[in-house]
Amino acid sequence: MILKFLLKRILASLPTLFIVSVFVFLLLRMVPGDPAALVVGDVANSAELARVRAEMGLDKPLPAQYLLWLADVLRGDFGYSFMNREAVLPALMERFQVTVQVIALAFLLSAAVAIPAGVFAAWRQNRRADIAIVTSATLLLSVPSFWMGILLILLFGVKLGWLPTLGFVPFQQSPTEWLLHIIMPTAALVFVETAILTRLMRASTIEVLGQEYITYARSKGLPESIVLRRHTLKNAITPTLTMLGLILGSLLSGTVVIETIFGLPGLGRFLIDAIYARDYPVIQGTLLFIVLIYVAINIVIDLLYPLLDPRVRQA
Amino acid sequence: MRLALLLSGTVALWAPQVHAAAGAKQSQEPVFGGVIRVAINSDIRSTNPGVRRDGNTDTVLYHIGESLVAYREDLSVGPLLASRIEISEDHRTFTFFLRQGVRFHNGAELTSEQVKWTWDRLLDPETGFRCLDYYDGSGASGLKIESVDILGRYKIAFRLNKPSALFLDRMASIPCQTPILHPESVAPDGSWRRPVATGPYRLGEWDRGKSVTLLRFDGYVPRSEPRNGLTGKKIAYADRLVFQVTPDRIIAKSSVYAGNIDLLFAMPLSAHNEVQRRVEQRGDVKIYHQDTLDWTVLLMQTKDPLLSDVRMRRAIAHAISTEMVTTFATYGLAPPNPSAIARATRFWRPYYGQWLSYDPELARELAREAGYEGQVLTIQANRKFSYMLDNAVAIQAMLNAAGFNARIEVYDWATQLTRFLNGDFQLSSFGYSARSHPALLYGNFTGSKEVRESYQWDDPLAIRLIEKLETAFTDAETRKILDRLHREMIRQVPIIGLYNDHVIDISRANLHGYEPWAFGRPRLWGVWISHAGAGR
Repeated sequence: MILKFLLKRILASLPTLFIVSVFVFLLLRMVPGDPAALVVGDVANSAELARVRAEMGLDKPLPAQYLLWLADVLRGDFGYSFMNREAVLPALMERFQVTVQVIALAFLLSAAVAIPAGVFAAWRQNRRADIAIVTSATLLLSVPSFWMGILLILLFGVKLGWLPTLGFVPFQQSPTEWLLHIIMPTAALVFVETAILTRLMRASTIEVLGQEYITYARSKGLPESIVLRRHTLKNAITPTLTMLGLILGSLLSGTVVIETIFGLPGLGRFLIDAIYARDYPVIQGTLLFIVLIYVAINIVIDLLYPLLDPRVRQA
Repeated sequence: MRLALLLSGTVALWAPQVHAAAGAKQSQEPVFGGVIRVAINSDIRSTNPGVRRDGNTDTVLYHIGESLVAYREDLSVGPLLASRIEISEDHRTFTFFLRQGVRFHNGAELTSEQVKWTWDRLLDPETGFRCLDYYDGSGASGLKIESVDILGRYKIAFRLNKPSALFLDRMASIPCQTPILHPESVAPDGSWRRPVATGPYRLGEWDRGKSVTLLRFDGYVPRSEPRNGLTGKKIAYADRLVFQVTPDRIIAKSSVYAGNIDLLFAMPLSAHNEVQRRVEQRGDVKIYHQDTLDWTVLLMQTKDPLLSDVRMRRAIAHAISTEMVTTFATYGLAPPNPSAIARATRFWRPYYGQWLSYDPELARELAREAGYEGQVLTIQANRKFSYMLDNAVAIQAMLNAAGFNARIEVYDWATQLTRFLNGDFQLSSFGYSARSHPALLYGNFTGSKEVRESYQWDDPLAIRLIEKLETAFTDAETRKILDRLHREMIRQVPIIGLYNDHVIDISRANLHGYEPWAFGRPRLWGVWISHAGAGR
């Protein structure tokens, strides 16, 4: 049953991927700026420019360029970077490993703080604790993650000297250094995401707390902790789960700026550098990869619904 | 009879301005060991010199590889791997006598064999050497290396198709660097592996997107004369050089404060006052100032219907105060320079500072004469190089004040560069990267637009004068031609020169021996870290 559902979802996502690939390919070519010009710079002469363009395959007609690229992608070959001849797919995977560590940590921390905070605020609706939580969430939501990153660097890096201001150390190399390097970029992302999630969790919890079955549970004398845990949280988390998928996506885009600020060699910076350099194979490969991740996350979330909500299972 | 060229070390005339806090103790004696961490704003493109390159790539690679010749501090060319150079009377044959006992990073000794191998590889179009047109006859100079002949184990001759006074300057070029490599640098199929060269540092690890680490080459054999530009005695004090990719320059500056980075070069000029205050108040950093060879200009498309009239170009020049633009864009840190002869070169003299006077009234009159009736003048600029946008803003204000109708179009750098290469602009706020010899800079923007759209100055007299520079074998001859070129520039106004870029580098106070220079990029031999106050 699940396998059939999975297969159906995967097949349904194929047209999306195809449309995205065409869209990205064409959009990139419509943006002015010649990648060959950026490679040769101001030491260029016409012959050299033409040679580099041919080397990049840009001398071929657009449909031919697209079909060649698509054929390579279907074989699992995302091509080579125009700038440094690095194979795109292995580079993507390497950069993604860095990004996923920051995102996963930020995601877990956001969820760990926001879910209880949202439930608690809803439970204490319009009281001091609720107002404090909502105000904090609104404040945090108003601070862009890049600004938060700069503030963290100034405080913990420059002023106190507790944390390194840039770079990344793999966990395998040194767990302590890994943690020290990853704290600030993660924190910069966590604040905003926590705020969004808290507000969302609060709203859905308030809605659930107003349901008749909650009144019934309370009236039959169940302790408040059981009402909240067993009857409220379970029902309130489903809409939040949908949002969690979107938050993962927004975390992925948030890392673009954060990775640039903290000098992390992640997927976001990989993409930004490629855009400035008009590095078509890297941009196309990265965007396609990000779309794949979005699709995968949404499939996973769809699979989680029936586990959390029996009504979905029955449907 | 052959002319022996004595290319021995000369005393540097130039001295950088270095400000350190009074309290910062200079380490009297150099110290071996440690790591120097340098911020670079983007990753290198490859480890293949002169082939897949950009400014950061060049910077990293000139610590690894060495050419037969290199620039001295005064931007003259001196021997590096050569011990001396003989130039034939007809100036077509350059014979290099190699220093003996020089070792490659793999332990092999440098001989004429590797020099020939390196040059054969560079001249092979398959290699993709960016500056092949310097040497294969296809460039504006028409210069071609006809042969590279081994005359002995340590003696090798380059035969040119015509006399050239600039051959050694081209060979020493940093963007077009030609380090002598060992054949082990490439795989049997000819694909690039890693540089096995003769420099004071060897490649350790390139962690893509993150850092490039160089390790001290213990077998390095330095020259005997004092450090001078990219030649002279190079002593690698640090065990390791780490070029750390730090895309954001302001964060890089904070990282110097925090002790995570030891040196940041080309810091945004806007941060100058803040860093200066820190130098004075805390003394934990040093600040270095340097005028570079990079030349900032306003390009004018002489094929444009309006701008093809020299009166219109002169009108625009009279409407712009280069002094004011320079002060505005460089925070008063750089002097203006309307000529293509950089202030840092030995050829500079006050005459090259002369330009059309700032006279908005005359500008209006000339524009009227040229039939200008308020048509829009579009200035292209970009945000990547913010000074280009700053220049454009100042120029627009002056042009509009003088009665022109100027507007700015802001592109990203890729678009502006492509438009520049295609000649697709009316006015463009632009910059030319460093060229050591004025002839090379003039050669980069002078020529027929039919040959290359990016040539700005398409004038037969100017082209002839630049060809003459190719065979000007003395500085006096060169100066005479440069004078004429500048005179013609003032008359024809194909381009409006503004200033040579000013760079500010900052380092931790415990970094010693560092000196900026006219190329605006760091040299890290002869530089050491004292242990006291070392950063994280």
